[in-house]
Amino acid sequence: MKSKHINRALFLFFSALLIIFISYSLWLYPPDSDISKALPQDETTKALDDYNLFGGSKKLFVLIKGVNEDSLKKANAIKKKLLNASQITDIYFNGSDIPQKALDYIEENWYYLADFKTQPISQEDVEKKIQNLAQELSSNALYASLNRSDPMGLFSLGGLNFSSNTSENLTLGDKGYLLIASIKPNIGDIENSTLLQDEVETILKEYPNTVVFCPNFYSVENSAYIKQDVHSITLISVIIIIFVYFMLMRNITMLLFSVTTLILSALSAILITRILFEDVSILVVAFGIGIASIAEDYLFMLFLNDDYKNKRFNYEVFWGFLTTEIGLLLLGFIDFPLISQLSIFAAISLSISYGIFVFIFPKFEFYKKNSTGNFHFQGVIPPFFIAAISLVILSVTITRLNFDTDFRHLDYQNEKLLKKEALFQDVSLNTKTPILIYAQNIDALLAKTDEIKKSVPSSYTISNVAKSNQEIQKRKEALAHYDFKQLRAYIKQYASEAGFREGIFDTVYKEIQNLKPYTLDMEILESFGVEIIKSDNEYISLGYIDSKDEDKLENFKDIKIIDASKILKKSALRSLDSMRNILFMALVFISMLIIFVTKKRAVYALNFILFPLAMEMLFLSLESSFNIMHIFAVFFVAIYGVDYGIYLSKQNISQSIKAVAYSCVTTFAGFGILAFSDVNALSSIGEITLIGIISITFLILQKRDKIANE
Amino acid sequence: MRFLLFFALFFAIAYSNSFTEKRYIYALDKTTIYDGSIEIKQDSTSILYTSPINKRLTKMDSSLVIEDFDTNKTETIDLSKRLDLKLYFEMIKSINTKELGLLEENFTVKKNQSKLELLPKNRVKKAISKIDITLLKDDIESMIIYFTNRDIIEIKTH
Repeated sequence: MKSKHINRALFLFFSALLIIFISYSLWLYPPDSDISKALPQDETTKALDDYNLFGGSKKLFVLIKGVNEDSLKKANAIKKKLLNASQITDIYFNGSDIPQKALDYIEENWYYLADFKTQPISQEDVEKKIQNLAQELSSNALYASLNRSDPMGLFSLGGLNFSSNTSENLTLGDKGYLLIASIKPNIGDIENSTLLQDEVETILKEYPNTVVFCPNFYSVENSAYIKQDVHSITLISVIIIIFVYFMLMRNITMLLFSVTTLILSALSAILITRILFEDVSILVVAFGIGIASIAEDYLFMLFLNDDYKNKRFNYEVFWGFLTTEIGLLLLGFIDFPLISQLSIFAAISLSISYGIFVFIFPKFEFYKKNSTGNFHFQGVIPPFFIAAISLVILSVTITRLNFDTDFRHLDYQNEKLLKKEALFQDVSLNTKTPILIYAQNIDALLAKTDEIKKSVPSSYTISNVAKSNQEIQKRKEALAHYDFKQLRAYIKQYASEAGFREGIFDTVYKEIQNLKPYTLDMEILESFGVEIIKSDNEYISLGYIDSKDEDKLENFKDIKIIDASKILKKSALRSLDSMRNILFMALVFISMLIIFVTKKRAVYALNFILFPLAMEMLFLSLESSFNIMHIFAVFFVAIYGVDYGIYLSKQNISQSIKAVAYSCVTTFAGFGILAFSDVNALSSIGEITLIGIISITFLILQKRDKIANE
Repeated sequence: MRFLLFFALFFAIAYSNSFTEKRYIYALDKTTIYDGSIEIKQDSTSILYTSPINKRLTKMDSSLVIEDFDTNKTETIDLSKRLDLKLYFEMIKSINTKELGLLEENFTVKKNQSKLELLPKNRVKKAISKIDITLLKDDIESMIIYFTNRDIIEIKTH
């Protein structure tokens, strides 16, 4: 048996083993289809993660259409059934849903928590007040019961007003009754969120006039949709690429080996990326097909240039590969998980493919047949002119770009859920902005919320329902200084005169003398919508303020305002900034490398970066906005263009152009298909790559220099 | 005690055009008899007391207007801040329109021929001991509310 056959058999055998092993590993630990996990995790977005730890952030809303008796019956029936769902902890519909233990806590600690009028009441005022009370009780149009423990009204609800004093049912304007359920799963817990959605939808199937919304449903539905989308795209892409390869090579054996190489390198790269990042986004899988098509370019270039036959090392392909790798590794430093994952994946996948095509493929002895035909060039535009036009377009368009700061637009736009979310926007809770307060211990946390209360009296934080040691001490002192003994004597005296029953005020203000110590129950705080959690070495508490008061908290340390769009905007601008710097550095480095390698033909080679860049910027300036994935793709096309630029400026122009033309067709199939995805992150990459490829195709049809074209 | 006031207001009076309300206040050991009438329109509910006070309470949207005809003074209460009162008027309306579903939310209803006994559930228990309703055919003839603070309100329709 010839050695090439042994080599080929060994390669196929070991590749098959590796492919099976890696596929099994990835089946056990599949890529993550939740895009939100692939977004930047920095100081600003950490607050969003912290917020998601709170029960207050985990809510499900059910609207029962219509405000009438029938709807009310339905609402109560649904509430009862939902309470049996495994992923729902409790449901709020009216004041009676506030847990009894929470009300007991208020009752037991009433004199510590309630607002207290410390100003002593004069004898005359006591007399007047008692007379008024008797008058009101006997002749007021509206019946009111006598408050025997505090007839002077010294203690009031104040900040404790948490709506338990009503049995009014929640409604969503006049649209219908509203149930708010607290749920168990976090937004990223797709497994339990799916269970929640299934349970709730099964219950609501019987009730047609209902609408349900829960932010967790985005994770469930979008993730399922993205998985489906990526699978379809990957399948179509693979079929097209295999077909195109076959049409171009007309060599089934080589096709088998090259596809095996690409599958092996893509799977290995996914596995290594998963190990490096602990998780890998499913978008990397879709992206992988495009990367594979780039790797195939090395094969085209080496094969069509007869490097296998002549057993020579192609330095131009190496330089192109090296620049691409350096560019990708630079992108890997960007603090944006999706981009760094894609870059590192691409770098690993390309290295493995390059290694196999350069060092192992020569042993398989695949040689080009002689009849390969030549390309005829029509283009007459000189390189300098193209470079000048590109610079003009770049300078005009770059100022017209509009960056989309909302990362959520990268995800699949789930219109159905977005509409439902909009319906529930009127829920009064949503008009309040959540805030997170950080401190080293609970007392410091309470002290901070007391400070917030002074600046923003309408804020609703733990200090509305709990007090710090310092505040409790102050209250104890205030109660001790108040002359309740005298007050009791006055009340008794005038009560009798006003006609009150003998002994009705015998115990008035007496319990203040023997107050039990104040006890803070952390579990109960959650019932009031404000809770404390311990995270690492710090305590975090959830609170709410009116949106108009956000500015007042600017000078407070350790407070984060949870305004998702503002947080994401900040993070997006940070990512854009870091990307712009790396992009600039990388472009300068790549340009210098091109000039160093291509020398006289530097302008021609540089055009492979400049011209696609200009066309992409032109496209983005015509779009309403661009996102971070567009920028990534722009950079990606640039480092991809370097390969072509270097290769075409050095090689035999006829065969080289043929290789590049083949590459363009396969890249078109590998990346272009992404433009048809409904996931914006993928379609953005697809759009830019398409424009880039069309621009590169245009460039290879133009003359390189006078000598070459003549 | 702080919360009792709100729940106690649920059933103060209700239904029919004219009524007599006997209100016994234990703390004063005193009974006051009120005469009045109620008018329910599409967009408003009015209670007019003619004796011993001369006042009209009108609920429109989310506001309650109290007109005192003796002093010619008018007071407006924002019901969005007084959910107890808002609920009170909604209850009056629901009893008058015989949509008794609301009652079942807060009471266990026991029916014995022409008598209805409403035993409070939830936190209403803290304010109300029970409610007895006597029916005349399908209409409410009388209603007695027993409060936990020993106050009693008895309402009879004319």
